[in-house]
Amino acid sequence: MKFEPRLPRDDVNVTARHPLKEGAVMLAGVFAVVAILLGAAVLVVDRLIPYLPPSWEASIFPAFDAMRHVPSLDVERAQQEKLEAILERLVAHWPEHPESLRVGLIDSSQPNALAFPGGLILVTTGLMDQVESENELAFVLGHELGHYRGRDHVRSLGRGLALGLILTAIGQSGSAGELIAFTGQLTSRSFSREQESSADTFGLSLVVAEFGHVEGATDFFEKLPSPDSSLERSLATYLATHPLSDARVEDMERLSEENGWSLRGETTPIEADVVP
Amino acid sequence: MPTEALIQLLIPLLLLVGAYFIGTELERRHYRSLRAREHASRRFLTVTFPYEPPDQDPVDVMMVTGSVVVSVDYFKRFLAGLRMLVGGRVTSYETLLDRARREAIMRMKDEAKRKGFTAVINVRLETSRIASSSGNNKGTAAIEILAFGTGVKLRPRATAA
Repeated sequence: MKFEPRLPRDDVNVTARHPLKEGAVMLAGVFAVVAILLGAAVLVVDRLIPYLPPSWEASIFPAFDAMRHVPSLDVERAQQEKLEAILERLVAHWPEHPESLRVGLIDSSQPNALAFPGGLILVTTGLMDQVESENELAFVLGHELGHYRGRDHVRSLGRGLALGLILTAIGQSGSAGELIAFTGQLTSRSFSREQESSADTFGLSLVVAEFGHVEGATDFFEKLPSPDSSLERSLATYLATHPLSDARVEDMERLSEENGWSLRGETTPIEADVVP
Repeated sequence: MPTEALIQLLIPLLLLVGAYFIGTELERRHYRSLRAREHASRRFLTVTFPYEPPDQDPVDVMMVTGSVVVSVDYFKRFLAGLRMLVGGRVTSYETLLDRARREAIMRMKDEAKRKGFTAVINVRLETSRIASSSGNNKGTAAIEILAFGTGVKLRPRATAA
């Protein structure tokens, strides 16, 4: 027997494939699958919605009424009454509205309004402190009514289920899974931004029906901070759940022009009523 | 809110880029060092069968070992994570294990040489998992590769007088 010195080869146990290329191919494939699944979930929910009455929403989601801030001060009681009055006026222009609509306050300094499944709209005390006109408040409420009209809770539920399935499937794959999950969530926010836009459209049409013009309706957006640079803008657009405020204002202006809605008119100040 | 989400996205991306460049450079250097050392010790007899060469007599024997503990970098683990979704060869771990096996064998040879042996026979490789990242994905995955064999000091067999 003879021993001849030989060296191990580098290419026997190692596949010659560039790691970056391999990563790119796999990522693209996985993202495509996630996008298709999400898209399919959205389509399925769209087809199901006509068969799910609004009362069904109330029955599958828990009751959120416990979150309501019960007005204790005179100011808050006045705010509550104002909200109810405006909601009633708006709903008069929407004949097929769900039966169970209610509006209330929630104690938070963040200016915001939330539409809960089952017909409960909660407006933060922070928002009530900032709004200056009935027109502005009416648009905020109208926007939330738009979410009920679009059945956005059911849509979000469908997306949530699809995302949940994807997350469970990739839950064991470490950092890659986390990145995919994160991107999936962000992508599903683009659906949510679409919902916000159509809620804006519906809200504005209610405001016009009630007040006859759009003056003051979008004042609230101007109170929200807006990003400056274009990089910040594109990132913010991708990451946000709502469209950017100034884009929303522009959209509302374009919409008003298209529909021939009057841009100028009398606004009804709110302070006079709220503060005794 | 967008800033938080941005940070959440940027940190893994930076880790990936950093791990890729650092990992690639370290791997390149390790392979260079491995090739040089393998070339230098290529005449040192290392075989897997359990006998000394027929024309030689063992004058001294002892077990020699060489072991390496390896873990994966963030980038390789990321690729492997994707691979777990789509199936197929986990190529990102191949170079890692190849390097670890060759390094363990080199260490075993070095030990044998240091102890004055002229060959290692009956060489075996063992792999054991010593830490796992399974379950919560938080731990550090690490394995040990152990190379062991019988170091022998050989002397040419005296022909029968």
